[in-house]
Order: sequence, then C-alpha cells, then structure tokens
Amino acid sequence: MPTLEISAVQKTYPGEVHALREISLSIQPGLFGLLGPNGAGKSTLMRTLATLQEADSGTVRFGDIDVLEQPERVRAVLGYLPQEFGVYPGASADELLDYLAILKGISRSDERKAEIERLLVKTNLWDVRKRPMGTFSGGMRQRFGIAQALLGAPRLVIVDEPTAGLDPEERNRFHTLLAEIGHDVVVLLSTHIVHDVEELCGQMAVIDKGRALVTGDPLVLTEALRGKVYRRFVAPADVAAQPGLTVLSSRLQAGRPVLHALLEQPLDGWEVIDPNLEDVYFAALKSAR
Amino acid sequence: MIATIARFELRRNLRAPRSLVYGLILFAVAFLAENALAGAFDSVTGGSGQGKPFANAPFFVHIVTSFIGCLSLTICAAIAGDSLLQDFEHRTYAMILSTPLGTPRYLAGRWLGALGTLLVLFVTVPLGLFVATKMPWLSADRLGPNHVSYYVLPYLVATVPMVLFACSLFFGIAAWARAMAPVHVAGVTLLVGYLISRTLSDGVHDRVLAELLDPFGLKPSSDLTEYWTTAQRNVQLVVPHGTYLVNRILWPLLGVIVGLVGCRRFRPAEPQSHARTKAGPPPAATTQRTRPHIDPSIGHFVRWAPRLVLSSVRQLLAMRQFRVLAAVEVVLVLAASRTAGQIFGTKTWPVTYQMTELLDGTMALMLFALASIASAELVFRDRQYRMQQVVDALPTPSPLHFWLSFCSVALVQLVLVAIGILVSIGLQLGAGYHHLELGLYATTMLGISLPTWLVFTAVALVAHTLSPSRSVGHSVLLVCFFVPTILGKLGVEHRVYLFNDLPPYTYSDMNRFGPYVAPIVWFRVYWGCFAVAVLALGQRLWPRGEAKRPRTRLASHGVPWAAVIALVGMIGTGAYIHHQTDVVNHFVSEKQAQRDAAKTEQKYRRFLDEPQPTITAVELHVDLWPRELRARLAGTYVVKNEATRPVTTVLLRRDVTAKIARLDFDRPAQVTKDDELGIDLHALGQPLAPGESMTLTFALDYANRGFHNDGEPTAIAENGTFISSGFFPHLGYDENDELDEDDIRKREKLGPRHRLPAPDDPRARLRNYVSADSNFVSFVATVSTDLDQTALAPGDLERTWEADGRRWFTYRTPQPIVGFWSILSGRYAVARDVVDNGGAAPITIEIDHHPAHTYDIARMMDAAKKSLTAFSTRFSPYPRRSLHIVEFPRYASFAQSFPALIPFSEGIGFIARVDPTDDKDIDYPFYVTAHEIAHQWWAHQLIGGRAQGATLLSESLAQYSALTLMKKEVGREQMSRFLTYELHHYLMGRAGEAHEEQPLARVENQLYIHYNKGSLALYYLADVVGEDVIDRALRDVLAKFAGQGPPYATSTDLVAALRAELPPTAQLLVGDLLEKVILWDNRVRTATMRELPSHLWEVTIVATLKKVGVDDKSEEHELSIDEPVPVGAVDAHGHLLTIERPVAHGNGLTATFTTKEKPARAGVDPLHELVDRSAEDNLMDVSVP
Repeated sequence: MPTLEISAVQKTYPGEVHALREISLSIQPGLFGLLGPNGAGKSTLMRTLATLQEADSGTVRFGDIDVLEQPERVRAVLGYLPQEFGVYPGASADELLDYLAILKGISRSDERKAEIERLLVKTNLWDVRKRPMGTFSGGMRQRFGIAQALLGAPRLVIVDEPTAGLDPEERNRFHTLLAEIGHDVVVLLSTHIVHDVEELCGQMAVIDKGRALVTGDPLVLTEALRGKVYRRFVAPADVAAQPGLTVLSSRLQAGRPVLHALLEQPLDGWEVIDPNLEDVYFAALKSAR
Repeated sequence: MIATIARFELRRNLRAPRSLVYGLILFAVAFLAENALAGAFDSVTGGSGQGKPFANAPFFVHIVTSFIGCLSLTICAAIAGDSLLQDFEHRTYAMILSTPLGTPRYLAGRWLGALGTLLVLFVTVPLGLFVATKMPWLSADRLGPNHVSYYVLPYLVATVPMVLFACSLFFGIAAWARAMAPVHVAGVTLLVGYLISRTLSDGVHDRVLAELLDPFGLKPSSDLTEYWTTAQRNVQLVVPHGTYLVNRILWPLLGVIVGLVGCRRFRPAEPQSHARTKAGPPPAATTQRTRPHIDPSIGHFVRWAPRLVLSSVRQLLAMRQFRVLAAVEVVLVLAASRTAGQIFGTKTWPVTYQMTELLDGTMALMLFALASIASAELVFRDRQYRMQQVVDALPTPSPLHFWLSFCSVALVQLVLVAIGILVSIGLQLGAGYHHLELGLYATTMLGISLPTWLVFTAVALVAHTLSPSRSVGHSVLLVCFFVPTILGKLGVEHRVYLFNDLPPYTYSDMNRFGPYVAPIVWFRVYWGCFAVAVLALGQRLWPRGEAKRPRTRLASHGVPWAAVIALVGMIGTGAYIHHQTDVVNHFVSEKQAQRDAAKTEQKYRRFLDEPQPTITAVELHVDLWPRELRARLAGTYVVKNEATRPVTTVLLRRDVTAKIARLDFDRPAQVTKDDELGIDLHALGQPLAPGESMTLTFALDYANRGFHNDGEPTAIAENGTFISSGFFPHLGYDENDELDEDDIRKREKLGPRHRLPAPDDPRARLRNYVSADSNFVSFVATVSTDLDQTALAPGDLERTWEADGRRWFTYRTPQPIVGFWSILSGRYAVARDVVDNGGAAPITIEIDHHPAHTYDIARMMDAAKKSLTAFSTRFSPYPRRSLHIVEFPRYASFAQSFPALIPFSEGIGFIARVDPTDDKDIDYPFYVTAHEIAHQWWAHQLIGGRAQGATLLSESLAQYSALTLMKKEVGREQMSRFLTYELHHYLMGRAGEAHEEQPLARVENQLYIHYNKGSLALYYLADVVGEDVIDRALRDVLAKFAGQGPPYATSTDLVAALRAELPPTAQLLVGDLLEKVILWDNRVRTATMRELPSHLWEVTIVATLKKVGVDDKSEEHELSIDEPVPVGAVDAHGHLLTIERPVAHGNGLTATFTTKEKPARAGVDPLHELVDRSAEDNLMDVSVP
C-alpha cells in the first residue's frame, strides 16, 4: 500500500512570502489531519499535492509516483475536494458526476453508472440527483464535493477545510463518510478545527508558517502532555498578565476567563487537567513562536 | 436626499476609470467620423467628396451625433445597469436598503446619477466632432464655417432624448431582473436589431410608422433631410418638427414608462427558487467496492468526446444569451424576408440564393456574438462557478478542454445556422415556393459561411483563454471583428491581410458559383490554416492550476509542430494567392484605376484634335469556349477617314487583359505600344487620305486565369456569357472614360472636367453619344460556342449550323446600326411567339431564359408583343424580323437594348412575383421589357449627338413609351404609385448631385434626370395634352433623323418638334418640364363636400401652391403661378374619382368639382404628377361643413 512521502518541499510566493519551508511529512494510509492556523501553508501544500501548483524545490512521492514531476499519474489516482468550490448551477448532480467521471477517465459506462449510484447513495444525494445544483444547500453541495472526490476510488484523497460552514449534523455525516474511506487509502485532511482531527485521524501534523511543528498519532501526542497542562480561572483584567508562563490558550467558560498553560510543575491557583488535542495544537504553535 | 444620492453616484461614476475610457471612446469615434467625412482617408482609398456637404455641415453633425448615440447603447446599458446593480454585486444592498431612505428614493437617486453621468459623457461627442474640424491635415475646402448651434442642437435633439430613453429602459430592466446579463442582452438586441432593420425599410411606404418606430430618430431625421440639396445641408439646422418631433418626445417617455414598471417590480430580497425533484427509489446499496478502471488515455477521451461536447452544448443552449440570439435571428429573418429582393415594392419568388444571402447578412452579427459569448462561457465557467480546482485536478489533458470547447462552440453555431435555415425553408414553403435547393443551403451556409465563423471562433476561444476576464476578451474580439473594415478604410486592399476576409462572390441560378469557387476555396484554406495555427497554439494556453504566464504555458511542451505546419501552410497558400492575384492577374485598386484614367487623359487627349478614322463596317468572328472560360474575339473593321485632313497616326484602344494575336491595318504602320494603359499608336506608313478606307484586322484572346483579390471577371461565363463591345478594339480617344469628380481630378493634377457641348453647339451633332469611333455601321457576326449552348449577337439570325463539335451562328442586321454590340451564349430554354408587323413580315419573339425561371416569361412575352405592336403603330414599323430577350447571370442588374437583342439580368425580372390582385404591386418585368423594346426606336434609330440632352432622346423617350403603354394596361391609379417611386428617386438623386442639376433638355447623362424626371415630365405632358400629340412630334423627329449619321439630332430638335405640335396653352408647360428645373410645394388647406340632389357630390378644396425654379447655380427662386393645376378626389380605397385642371392664379387655389361617388380624400395633384417635395400633404379627408 503506497504511502505519501513529502520531503523538503519549499515554496516562496512573489514578495518573499514563504508559504512552505522545507516541509517534510511521511503519511501512511488512513486519515491524516493537517492542522494549522489560517495562512499556515496548508492550502499551498494541498494544492501542490493536488498538482495544481508547482513547488520550488523538494520531492513528493506517492508509491512509485513522483508527484511533482508526473502530475498526470497523480491525477489518475487522486481525489480532490478544494477548500472553495462550486458547481454549474444548471447541472444536476448525476449529470455533473457523469461528466466528471468521464474527465477522470472512467471509460466503461456500466462502471461509471455503478460508481455514480454508489456515491449518490452514500452521500445521501440520491433523492436530489436530478435537481439543478444551483438549489443545493451548503451541506448538500459539500456532500456533492466529496462524492466527486471519491469518483473512481482514488488512492490519494485530499480534502481541504471540508467542514467549514457545516452545521453539526452535516459535519457528523461528513465525518462518517471520511472515516469509511480512510482504511486503505491516504486521506489528507486539512483543517483548522481541532475537533475534526480528534474524531477522524490516526495521524496528524501541526504546521505553521510553512513548517511542520509536530507530527504523530494524536493520542500519543496528547498523552505526551499528560500532567503538564494546567487550568486556571482568572479575572478578566489578569488574562494578559501571566509573566513567565507558557499560556496555551485563553477562553471563556460560562462567561469567566479560563487559561490553559503548560507548566513543568504545579503552581499555586492552577489545577492540572487531562490534556486534549487542542492543547497539543497550541503547545506546538507556542513552542515555535 | 435624492439629490445627495444622485450627486454621490455621479461623482463615483465620473471618477471611475471606465468613465474615462468611455469618454475617450466616444470622443475618438466622433473625431474619427469627422475625419472620415472630411476626407482624411480618401487619398488612400480613392474616395471622393465631390458634391457632398461640408464635413461639419449641421446635417452631418446631426446624423453622426444620432448614429454615435445609437452605437453607444452598450455604454448606456453598462452605466445604467451598474448604477443599480453595484450594490448587489458588492453585497452592500442590505446595508443601504436598511437605512430609512426607502426604495423609491434610493432608485430615483441612482437613476438620476446614471442619467447625469451619461449626459456628461456624451458631451464628448460634439466635442470630438468640433475638435476634429480644427485638425491641420484636413483640406479646407471640405469644411465650412462652424457655429455653436451646429453642435448644441444635435446634442439636445438627438442625444438627450436617446440617453433618457436608454438609461431609463436599462435601469428598469436592471431593477426588474436584478442581473446585468439581461441588461446587456437587451442592449445588444436593440442595437443589432435596429441596425439590421434599418437596412430593410424600402423608403416610400409606411413612412410615418417607420419614422416613429426608430428610437434614435435616425429615420425621421434623415427622411426630413433626404431631399435637401447640398447647399441646404451645409447651412440648415435639423430642427425637429412633425413626426421627428413626436418621435423625440415619444421614446424618452416610453423609456421612462418601462423604467417605472421595472422599478415597481424591484424586489431587494434574494430570489428563492426550489425546483421539484423526482425522487426515484435508491438502488440496492452496493456495499462491495470494486475499483473502476481508470484510463485517462487519448483513446478514452476520443471515445467519450461526443458525450462531453454534448454536455457543454446543452449548457450553452440553455444560456439566456443563446435564446435571445436565436430569437433575434428568427425575427430578423422574418422581417428581412418581407422586403428582400423587392423592386418597386414588388416581391420576388423566395429563390434559395436570395434566402441564403439574407441569412448570411442577418447572421453575421449573431454568429459573431455567439462565438464570443459561447467561447467566454466555456473558458470562464469553471472559474465563474469555482469548479476549476476540481476540474484541474482531474487526469484530463489540458488541450482536451480546449478542443472540447472549440467543438462545442462550433456545434452551437451550427444549431443557430440550422435554425436560420429552417426558418428560411419555412418561409419558402409558406410562400408556395417548393424548389428548395437544400444543396445550395448546405454549400452557402455550411460550406462558406460557417467555416468563416469557425475561423473567428478559433480566435475567440484563444482570445478568451488569454484574457483575464470576459469583458476584456469581448473587447478584443470586437476590435478583431472591425479590423478588416478599418484596415480597408485605411487603404489595405489585399484580402490576405484582412483577417478572415473573403473576396466577394455572387451566386447566380444560371451560372451557380461560376468563377468564384477557386478564390473562395483558396481563401478559406488560407484562413483555415491560420485558424489551425491559432488552435494549435491555443490548446497549450488553456489555464490550469495556478496561472502561469502565457509565454511559459506556450513553451512548456516543446516546439508546437502542428502550429508550425499550419503556419507554413498559411504562408504557402498566401503566397499562392498572391501569385494568383498579383502575378497571374493584376490587382488594380480603385485609386490605381483613377491614376490610369488620369494618365490616359494627360497623354492621349491631344488625339481629339487629330483626325481619326471612323468604323463603317463590322465583321466579327467570335469563338467562345465557355467551359474553359476563354474566348477569341476576331474580326475586321472597315475604317474610313471621314475628316478633311489625312490620318497619319491612329490611336487604338484595347482591353489590357486581352492577349493580342493580331491587331493591324492593311497597310504598314509603326506601332508604339502602351501596355499599361492599353493604347497603341499606329503611325501609318502611308497616311489615310480623306474619304479613303482601310481595314483593321484583329484577334484578341481572353481567358480567365487563376483568380482575383476582389471579384472575378464574369463576361465569359460557363453558362451565361455576356461580352460587350468594350472588349473589342476601338479607335481614337474616348472622352467618356475621363474622370468626372472635381476633387479627384485636382488630386491627379488634371484641369476642370470637360463638359458635354451644349445642344446648340456646332460640335453637338458630329458624333453620337454612344460610340466615339463610329456612326451607323453594317454589322455581321459569326459566333461559335459549345454544342449545348446557344450564342446570340445583335441582328437577325441568318444561319446556324454544327461543325467540329461546336455550334455556329451568323447574325446580320439588315440596316446599319449604332456601333454598339454584345455577344451572349448560354444554355437556355426558349419561349417563342410571333407578332404581326403591319404589312411587313411578322416578327419572331424569342425569350431565351434559364430553364427554371419560367415565372415571368408570359409577362415579358405579353409586354414584348404589346410593345412591338404599339410602338410600330405609334412611331414607325419595327425595322427587323426578330427580337431576342436573353437572360444573363445576375452579376449585373440591368437590361440593355441592342438591335433585335435585349440582354436582361436574371435579377431584375425573371423571379419577380407580381400579384395581379394586389394593386400595390408593380409589374416591373413588363415595364423593363417595354422600356428596352422602346430603345429599338429611341437609341437604335434616333440617337442623340454627343451633347447635353442626348439621353433625353433615348432614355426619357424609352420611359415615355413604356409608361404610356403601362398606363393602358394598369390604369392611372397604379401609374401614380409607380410615379411616386420615380418622384422619390428623382428627389433623392438631385439631393446627391455632385455637379449641378440640369434641365431635361440639357441632361448630362444624369440617371435621376433622364430616367426619373424624364418619366415624370413626359408622362405629365402626355396626361395634359394627350399621347397622340406627343407621338406626332416623335414621328417627326424620327422621320428626320432615324438611322442617320452626322448631323445627329439634339434635344433642341425634340423640343422644337413638341412645340410645333402642342397647343399654345401647353407651351409654358413644355418649357417648365424640359428646359427648366421646377419644383412644387403644394398643400391642401380645406376640403369640404356636400351632396347634390342629383346624387352627385360637390367637393370644394382650398389649397396653397408654391412653384420654385432652380437656376444653374442651384439657387431657388419662387415663380409666379398662372397655369392649370390638377385637383381631384379619391374614395375610401384610394381609387381616383375625378381629376380636373383648373387654372390657378397666384399661390391660392380654390376649386370646386363634382364626383359621382362619395369622396374620402380630396386636394391638389392627387396622382402626384407634379414634382412636389412633400407629396403627403396634397390630399386631406373631406369633411361636411
């Protein structure tokens, strides 16, 4: 089973904007979560992997495919759901899937038919398959997006911020879909929602400013912080005034500010808590800054 | 509050960079138009400003301002639409509409803002026109004095109402639809529909309606000024009154109403639409996942390409723009078919070539728009609908998208063409015409037209592929579309350099595509290669992923061999075309031809003073090989020195395209050849003494070789050869070939033009006006042609035989003829009849026509029989035994008379569809036939000397003869309809006069005088004094001059003969009609009636009369009236009830007359016999006091 090996990929946009700085990742089959704040370079990496953009240097291999040099071979095994996408408003879901399936290279019409039916049922779009997609809701459109990405049983699936803007129910349905396919193929999921990764991914990386800060199994990474994450409720005025402390996050809980911090040893007024993936994420970002 | 919004909007609009662009465009168009009018481009193209008004005449400023207004519809659409829709585009509407402002005030403010913006922008039009007049390169004699009113009035009358109309209309549509697309579609539809419909109206009938229906006021303002002479156009302001005034108020009002309706339907909320869904049961869940076979190979895509193309085609066909274009196309074809091919308002049969020409004309703009819109849709749809990342990550090769798009656009164009063809076929069937010629549809539309548009589509697709946005692509393509026209105006005449151009061609039922096949094919191959090269490069440019620079995209796949090969092909075919047009044949531009004419005059005019021999006998031996498109014109002329001095040098003129096998006299001569101008000087070894004769023997070979850049020679045709005497050699210098326009003569450094001598000049009677080198000649012609063709020449057929696999014919004229002949040959069906010729042998009439053109043969035969009988009785017996009317291809649209031979174009009578039950229809096949037969007397027996007034003796008398014959056939009322056309053409003709208008008796070959005014004058004279009086005078002239050489007759002989025959009461009239230029402006003031006890109706009319004389400086003087003037009444159907001629004294006229039936309208000059500049106020509804 092919793995995705990203080594030392570099990309600089005009104006000295370093989108990717020698990023290296090794991605095994299964769901891989790519966490990072906005502007971290996630989408640049995703687009590079999806052959829509060239890197300045570095190599990417997927099995025996050199991703950067053989885009045609990648595209034959790729499923891609871009962060922002739309549909021809007049076309219906089955029409457009058929069109895309041909473009994807599914030559036998019986296979194409079966594939489209399978995906329409799976994404729960069967009942609306004849409707012009201009009338679809955001969730329906997103499900169509995953359906088209899964056309032709791709071996490498790249989904860029797929859950942004979905309501909780749609999001759950979406997670189920992703989880189903993530057994024997490489699924790369970029998101800034920690919860997505927590629920879905057996591997992850946190990236910021074009660098991979940590990579690994989310459970292992979380476990590594056990006993180091502390919490404290503070007065609103004291949120910013915590000298010498590595504050991971500050947020409100029932209207009261609560701080998470990474402490080497217990400190007065701070209680130790079970670490979660969010703490891992913030710890990674903090350590880099 | 409204004002604040409007001010804000105005400021925002005027500051936007596009306002600057629009302003510059308007300024530039106005500036260029004015330059073109002032002749800035004439020197390159050879155009002439002769007789035109000053470039800055108020008339021109008005027309140009109106026209630019109409062309700027798209600017109005953009600004009006955007002023409202920007809030939706920027999604700021929610914020604005939630303020307490309120929708009506919001809309009013925006509308005012847009209106103000447009009014400011359009100031650049008069500005551009004015600034242009100050440019130093314009020649001062094309510009008159400037006055501020010349520019302000058109702005107020033409621009302001147009802007009010367009702005309100588009604003309303934008409010209604809340999208820009319908606004643009409405703009383009209005513009295109308007431009094309403008070319359709025939000018005379339903005038008021047509004038009201013109939103830009172009029709009413040009109608208002159409009879204005140049002098009037130079100074007179176009002040709106009558229909024009109504029009200028009506349209803005209509625009505002549409705007208000649109605004009432304005709903600021997002539209909600939910389509119903057919939910079938889901298929049994297929849990088992088998990976489908993925094969992104060329084979796969080729196999499924039709499916992909169909999917795109469906998407394109569903576009609103396509539906609009298709609807406009249908409407245009329907509208155009109503008047297509009409002559004198009379229909023709909808033969297929006429339908394809109509389709081709109406579809050009549609297909252009479709190519641009559909290409843009396919290039930009993935970006617009944010599909491009999905599609770009698929394993489809990028060029595939490009080729699929090309095929899809091509197919959609095919659909549009097919719609046009189906509508045309429907029209043909609906008109009861069943000879559909589907092959001709296929050849013209699919073989010539569509490939032209595919070349354009290739460019359109690449242009959009390279453009950052649709509008940039559209603009670039708009420029491409007009580039050939602009380059042509700038003097680039070779079509190899004019993008996508094709030499003009004419399809003829007789000769089919004839000589045009080769140029069409080669030019199509040439531009086809260009298209392939463009496509081959374009396929690499398809944007994918992050945009790379086009240059990188282009270079990223190595050498583009397909493009290189196509370019090599293009260069190869281009070189071949050049070889054909410039080496095998000579490409003579209009300017070059003018230069040659000037050179000829400069070098050879001196031979006018040298005695030249005259041809006295012509013997022709013509061999035609129509299939090979070649001919040998051989023969001998007996030439005689009829002068008093010996001839030492003979000037011989010959066609420069002829290859001369033999051209010599039967005595030694030293020959100086001028091959450039086609003139040889033969210095005779032994001069030709006065009274002595010698023989010229000649053999000239003509062959159509290769093809030309701008049309093919058509004299020798595969079917329908028509060789005129100009192809034969001629003697002496011919003044008729001299340049006529003063400004061109000036440019070529020639003196003022040489006018014809006056009728009483002694030189007037020396030569006839048709042939410079002969008087009456004896004529015999032997013609051979292909076995399946019939050859014709003037005269009676003496002998015909077959030999050497060819057919031979000998024609001879019993009496000498004017030195003017022609040779014809073709495959004809023949209609024969015989008519008595008094005591002489009966006359055989033959109509040789294209076998399919049987529609009007009976009419022509009827006309021929009636003409021969009537004219033989009225004038003198027809001097020949036969008469041939011969159809020739529609390369020219005239009929011409030779002794016993009348070539008649297939375009002007053979497909006429005269409806005898419709009294609007004019039987023009009858009219043309009668006119040409009348020439057997007027030109071929009585021929005028080369002087002013000569054509009065031929053309006007032929009109008189034909019209009096027609009047017997159809009656006075129908004739009055015909005369309305004659009046219109006369008034139009005099308005466009380049020199000065002459009276009929001094006409200088001006068509509008000897035809149109000749008709009006002689018909009216006959109506007043009776035909037989005039016929008597004509017989006198004929008896004195028929068939005789010098001294020739002049118009003074005709006028004298008429005066001798006419009663004293008509002496003033004959002077007015023939020797003066007189115009009337009569108007009825009141018309009342009362019923008399005897069941008669007594009608009283009061009218104002105005009679104007025009002197030889084109100045008008009012004349006093003391003469009979026609008055009368018509019934409700327009039938004439009575006409009387009471004598009028002075400008007021009150007349009383009785009618047997109840009159509906009454007034002065009910039959439009007087030359009245506004004939529509002659009659009015009769009231009971």
